[in-house]
Amino acid sequence: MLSVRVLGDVVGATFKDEGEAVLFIPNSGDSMICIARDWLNLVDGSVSGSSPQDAQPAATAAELHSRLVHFGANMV
Amino acid sequence: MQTIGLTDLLRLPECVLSVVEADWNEIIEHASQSQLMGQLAARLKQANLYDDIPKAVRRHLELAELTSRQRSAAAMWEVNVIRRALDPKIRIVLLKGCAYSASADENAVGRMFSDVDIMVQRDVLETVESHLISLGWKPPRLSGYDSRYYRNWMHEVPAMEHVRRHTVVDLHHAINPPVSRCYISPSNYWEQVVELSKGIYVLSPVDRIIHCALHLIQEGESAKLLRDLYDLNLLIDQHCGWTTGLSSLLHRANELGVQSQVQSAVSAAQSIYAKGDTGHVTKDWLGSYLVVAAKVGPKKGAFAGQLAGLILLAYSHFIKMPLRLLAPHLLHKLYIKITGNKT
Amino acid sequence: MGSILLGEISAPDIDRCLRGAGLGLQVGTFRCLVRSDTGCLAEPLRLLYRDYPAATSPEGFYDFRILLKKKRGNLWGGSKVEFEWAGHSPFPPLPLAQTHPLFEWGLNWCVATLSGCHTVIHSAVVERDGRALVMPGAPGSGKSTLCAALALAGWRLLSDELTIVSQTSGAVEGVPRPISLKDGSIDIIRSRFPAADLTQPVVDTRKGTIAYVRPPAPALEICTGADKGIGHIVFPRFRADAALAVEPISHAMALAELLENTFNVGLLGVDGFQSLAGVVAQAECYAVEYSDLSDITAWIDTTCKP
Repeated sequence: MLSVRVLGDVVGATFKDEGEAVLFIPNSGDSMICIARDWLNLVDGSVSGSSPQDAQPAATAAELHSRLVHFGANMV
Repeated sequence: MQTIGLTDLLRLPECVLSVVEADWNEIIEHASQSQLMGQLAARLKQANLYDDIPKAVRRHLELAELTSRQRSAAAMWEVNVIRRALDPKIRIVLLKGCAYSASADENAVGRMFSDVDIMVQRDVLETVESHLISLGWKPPRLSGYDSRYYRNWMHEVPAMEHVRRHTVVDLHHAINPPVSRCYISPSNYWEQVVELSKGIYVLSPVDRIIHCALHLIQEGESAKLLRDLYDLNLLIDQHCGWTTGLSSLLHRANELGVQSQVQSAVSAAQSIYAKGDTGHVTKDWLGSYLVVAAKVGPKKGAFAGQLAGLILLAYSHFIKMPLRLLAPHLLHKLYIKITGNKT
Repeated sequence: MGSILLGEISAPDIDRCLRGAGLGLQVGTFRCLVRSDTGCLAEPLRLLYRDYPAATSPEGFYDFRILLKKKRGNLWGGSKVEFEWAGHSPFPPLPLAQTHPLFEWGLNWCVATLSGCHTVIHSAVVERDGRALVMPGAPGSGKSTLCAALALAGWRLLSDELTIVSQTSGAVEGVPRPISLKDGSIDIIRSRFPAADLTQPVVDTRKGTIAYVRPPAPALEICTGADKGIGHIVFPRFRADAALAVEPISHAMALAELLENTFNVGLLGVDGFQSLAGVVAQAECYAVEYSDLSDITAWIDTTCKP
């Protein structure tokens, strides 16, 4: 049912058969909801390595990445 | 039999075996008010006496430990946010809580702090300040007078609060005010800084001790004295010791022109916390007042404590500024207080 | 605490304790010592905390030694009251008439603070058969009215303000306290439950007109609270003249909302987040719009079964 993944300063939870993920930055207390696929793409590191056909997912995952960076998160 | 208090437990944790249940009320409240609860927990844990504490009391201590851990982690995270954002050539020296935490000083365990104290060279101060503002740290709105006070006389810019996270950054360019009688030229301690990780530095251990001593006198605040003196005590314990090491500490303080103040602070810390064999440090009038004011702390009442507190506040002003500036400054503050009118 | 209950002590004696060395009160797992020179606290305490273990003289360790102190007013305003615990005064001084609400707000603050090793969520919570029903909601959502209605009709009150979830077991701790009601809800509950004990409403507080309901006896039974964890999370939305409308919501949405309402979000860390996510994963989550209290309580009684 529940899957929790960590990427640097960010921890995210996804639930089975749900399209959203909940992200949390413990050191700042910030949280947000986002598209689960974008989060999983970030965690699996497919942002840079995606093919042209996957341009749409890559763009939104990159947006999520910059949103998290804006909150101060370091995902290296 | 004498009631066992907070400082007794910090000095001799074994006393915990003699604490009766009702005594814990005062101890816990005093620890809460003095921001020493986490460090009390650490002390008792270190002495393997944690299980001798009643369960209800442990709940308070455990919360303090958790709060200290999380807040330290959050503060260090802010440091890293700042470090990543600034030009790598700008060296950042951590001060106080962040420094103790990053250096893994023993007094960092259980210590409560949340402000981020950092120091940069004077020539990059404005650059760093603007960058912090662009990252979301807002300077406070100050009157023209207060703004000039900070810019011209003080060793730090006014505290900046983050617009969203509400964390606070205190940006320093020196460890004591340029206008003060015993201003230490920053190059003296910059040449001894230690790099902990890329671009992040701390003062040398002996300079950290000296800063701790100076800071607690400069602040002139009774409420934090007990905690600050405890920090001083542990730092001395760890980095130079209370016997032969003290002379090298005082020698360095003398080099920097602040021996008298450091000695006063050290004598006060010794009086409250040191146990066993310690080298004798003469306690002067300032040291005595520090002890009295620390023991009363934030509590009201106790005339002797209030008087000591006022004297310390006056002294803190005195050492921060020469008299020709101090008198008009205090008059200005009095004017504000009476009229409520900031110009 | 000793075996005496607060209701066995007369109001004048309670006031004497409050003015003297203090009145001891056991609230859930918390021991409190209360002092006040206002003269305004004895009656409401005796009404609302009637069934709570009490002590007339201090003994042992207290989690909170609370003081509600009268402060002299200035030329323009009457006397005020200030809440103090261990040197902290988290609220500004209020008019003397608000002494009792200030006590309740202050005690909430103390309990929420000291529970920081658990996850503390701003929401109402009731329990049945070991499972908790959590009702988060913004002010105006009707959660307190709903909480009172459920607590007075078969559900066990755990809290009207604070859901305290263990990060290790997922169990929900009960801290039985009077339920606060605002403005219109006061009359609704009074007419629906004429036998319930309510305090005299206090007007002009920062939350409007406030009254408190004595928690029914089952709330005070010594037990672990909801040891089977959270069964349901229901977000009530009161809207005048609305028909009952139930919308299942995703676990992600429920978790995000709970995080927004977590008092000690800064203390959670990765582990705290993971445990909260785990607790939410086991619960059924709904948003329910309603105008008639009977509609939503009937739906809850049928749907929120173990």
